Amino acid sequence: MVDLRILGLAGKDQTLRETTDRFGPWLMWSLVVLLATGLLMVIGEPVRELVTFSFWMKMFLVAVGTLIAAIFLKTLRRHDQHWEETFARRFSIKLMSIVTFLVWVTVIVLGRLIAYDHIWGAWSPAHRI
Amino acid sequence: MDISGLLKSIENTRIASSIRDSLFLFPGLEAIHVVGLALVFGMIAVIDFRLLGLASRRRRFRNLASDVLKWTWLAFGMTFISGALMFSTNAVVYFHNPVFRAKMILLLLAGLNMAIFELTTARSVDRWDAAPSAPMAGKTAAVFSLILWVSIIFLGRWIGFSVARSSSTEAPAPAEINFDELFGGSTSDDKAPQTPPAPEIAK
Repeated sequence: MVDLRILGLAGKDQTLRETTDRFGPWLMWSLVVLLATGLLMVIGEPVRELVTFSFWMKMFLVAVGTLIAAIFLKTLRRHDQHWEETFARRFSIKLMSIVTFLVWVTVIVLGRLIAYDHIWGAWSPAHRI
Repeated sequence: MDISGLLKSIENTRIASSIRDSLFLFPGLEAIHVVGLALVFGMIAVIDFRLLGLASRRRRFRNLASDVLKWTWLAFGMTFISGALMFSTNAVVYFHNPVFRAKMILLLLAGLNMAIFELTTARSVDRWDAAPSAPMAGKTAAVFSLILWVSIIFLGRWIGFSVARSSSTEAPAPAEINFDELFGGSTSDDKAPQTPPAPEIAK
């Protein structure tokens, strides 16, 4: 929703700040739940995840996505007006919102592919075992 | 054509067999399915929380709904198509799988719930558009919707643990839906495809 708002595809009756205030806390708590349940799954079946390429790539992208979101929220909070009037209209920021969307989509896809790591062939650590 | 003949012919289509034979297509479809369902559920939850007055309370319901629903349908289409393609690869086994059947029934109920909401509460939206939450009937619909969609996702995940892929068993063919079997017994003949846990089967 936040990405769609930046792209001007949804939520145009709200300011960017209103949009992030609405979704930010929910996103953060959802991330916490996902990390906690994910951690339990890794503890439960460590070999299944830790020797896959998909898993590590996914963890890397989760970190990247979270970092981008944190920086975005911090600068938005500091320069509310500025974001509304100039930043959010910049092409680079719009591009960034597409990139973050793709990062999270890729996270989901990689998550599913943990179960099919053989498709990476030699890239998969399991391949060498 | 009877139902088992129909299911067989679905399995034998070119597209179904090329998905079965490919190393990448089935995982790819699964991935699309998960992305789609995450979007569908997220958007539906946004609407339901608005109805319940738990979030977006100050935003007009209509603005929110018109914003969100087109994306929801787009994502639902994506999820539906990828799901139908996965079903086609092993139609007979899925059709006789009680978990799959339960999921389909809940999907229909979710659709019914939405239709009832649209035909009743949503008709009077002018009266509560700006209110922080919907009237009681709208809240009830929202609670049903959340419960149904969470259950649908659970059942969907469960199908993956209950069906072994591409084991083309000659499943018995009861043409009618048997409700006892549906909710009571994953025990009897449906166990057939579960036998030895083949190592390459993805969970």
